[in-house]
Amino acid sequence: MFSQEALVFDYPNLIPLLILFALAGGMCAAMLLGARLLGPKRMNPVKAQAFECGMDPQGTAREGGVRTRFYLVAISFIVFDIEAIFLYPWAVSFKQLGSVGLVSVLIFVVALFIGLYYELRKGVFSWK
Amino acid sequence: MSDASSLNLLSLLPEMLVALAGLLVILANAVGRDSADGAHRWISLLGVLSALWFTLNPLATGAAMSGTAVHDGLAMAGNTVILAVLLLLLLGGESYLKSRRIPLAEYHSLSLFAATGMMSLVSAGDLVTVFMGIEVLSISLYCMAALLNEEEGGREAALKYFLTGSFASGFLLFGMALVFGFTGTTNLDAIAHSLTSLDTDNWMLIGGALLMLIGFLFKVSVAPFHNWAPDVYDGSPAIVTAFMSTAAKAAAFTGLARVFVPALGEAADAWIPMLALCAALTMILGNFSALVQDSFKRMLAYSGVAHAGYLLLGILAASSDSAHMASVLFYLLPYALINGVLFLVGAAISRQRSGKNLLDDFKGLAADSPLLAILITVCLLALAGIPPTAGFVGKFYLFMGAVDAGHVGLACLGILTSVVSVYFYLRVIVYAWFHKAPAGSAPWTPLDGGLVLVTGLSALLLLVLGVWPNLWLSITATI
Repeated sequence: MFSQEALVFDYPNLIPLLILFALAGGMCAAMLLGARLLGPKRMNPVKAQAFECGMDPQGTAREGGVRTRFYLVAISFIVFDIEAIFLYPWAVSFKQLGSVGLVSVLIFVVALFIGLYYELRKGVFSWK
Repeated sequence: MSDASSLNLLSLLPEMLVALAGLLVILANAVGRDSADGAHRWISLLGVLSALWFTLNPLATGAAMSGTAVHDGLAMAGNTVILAVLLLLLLGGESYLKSRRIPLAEYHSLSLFAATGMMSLVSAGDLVTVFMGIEVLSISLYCMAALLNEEEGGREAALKYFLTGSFASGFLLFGMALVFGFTGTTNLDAIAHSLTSLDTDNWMLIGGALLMLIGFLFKVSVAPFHNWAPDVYDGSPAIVTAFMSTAAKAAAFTGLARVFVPALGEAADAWIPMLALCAALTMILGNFSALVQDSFKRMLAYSGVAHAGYLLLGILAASSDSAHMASVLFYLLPYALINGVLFLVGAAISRQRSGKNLLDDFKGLAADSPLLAILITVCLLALAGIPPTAGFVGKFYLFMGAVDAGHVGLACLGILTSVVSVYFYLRVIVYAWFHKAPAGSAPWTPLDGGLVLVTGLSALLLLVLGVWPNLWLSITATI
């Protein structure tokens, strides 16, 4: 818990940061605007084509997209990544949390394990 | 924090039982073969019934998990509504699930997980628990809306629900962050306590309260944040629509009441004008949009929007006198039962005719099945608020509360728009009783016995509650 006073920033110290933001934003805007206003625009079919390493693009973007399997693996990865995030603070304060902490973490891990087993049986990890 | 006595885990028994049942359903599906379909249903039924038992006869009450959850009368009433809907869908939804080939294990486990989120939301004692409950229920419902993703409408519904829902969560979270920034705590009791000593005329608090309100109003489909509801309700499988338009709405309303009435009650001047404006807009838009629908599901969706407006009147009344909270909780049960029954039975009736959930599908229903016609009539009359149904008593308490709290204009608007709503409810009744079935429609096949029995009992309960409201009011008034 912190008090309201903790949220009062020291504004003058932030002014250089604001100047940096303004400079960076202004430079980007100036470059984009300048190119748009001053640059010559000569369009031709080759220029408008999608660039694929010098080869003629073929087919639609839908073909050969990312397979659904990758998403399933990515989701599984996130689940166990988050599990690790929860386990670290528990491991650090293992002694203070005692048996209550141990049981809570066990329930958490078992729940995730059931999910993993379900994935396994549904064939998420069988790559053919 | 690790003090075992402050955990009070026994009071969380209903949530734990429902979550456990959900896990067991997944496990049974992973271990067993496809023939284990019956197991999912029995595990769910056992979990829901035991949770309902321990909700009504709690082993322990009060704050749990160091105050992040509170099991009081509000939680008890909210949990009862959620579990009652779940029970209704479990007992009456089997034939629908089979006929649409919805994956049973996924449906049952997701609905149990969604219920766990809803129950955490209604018993939340902390803004973090509120957000966690809303996310668990929302994510489960996003998946459930996509259970029929082979159909065009199903995909559209799921994606729309996901995009608008996660957008609304952003509002909610930002509002929570501002309120935390102002009060320095996320505990609801501590927020209420700190607001008594702080100056509530502060942009951070007002902004936080309004952003949180927008997030909640999105979830309960209040105008002008209601546009997702008709498309999502229409495109989702009927049994999922029955679940999300009743239990999820009841949970979100209870959560809204919990966050705004006790915790942000001191800052009521900041959010009451917006709530009153939204209530008025919702009642008008919901009822008038329902007039022109020709799909039964869309009509019910707009009627649900309108009812969210009536329920907001109860929240407004509760903000001036918390005794009126009972009227909101009272209405949630009949509202949830009526809509659950209508979506289930409507889908079953429509399957015999066009299969597109049209209002025309009800034509000639009384000739084919007088029992179903009576059932539909009772439910629609209850939605319209006609005695002796529980719908009348519920609306009476809501409007009376609004008058007590000084919102006479809003109460009048509510009554006038209710009159408008009678037209589109009665239209279905007229179709059922006084129109002939369209020529060339297939011969009537009787509906699944379990569905008729459980929906019939629900309709009977509506009549009983209309004559003897104390049966349920005595539970909701113990807050």
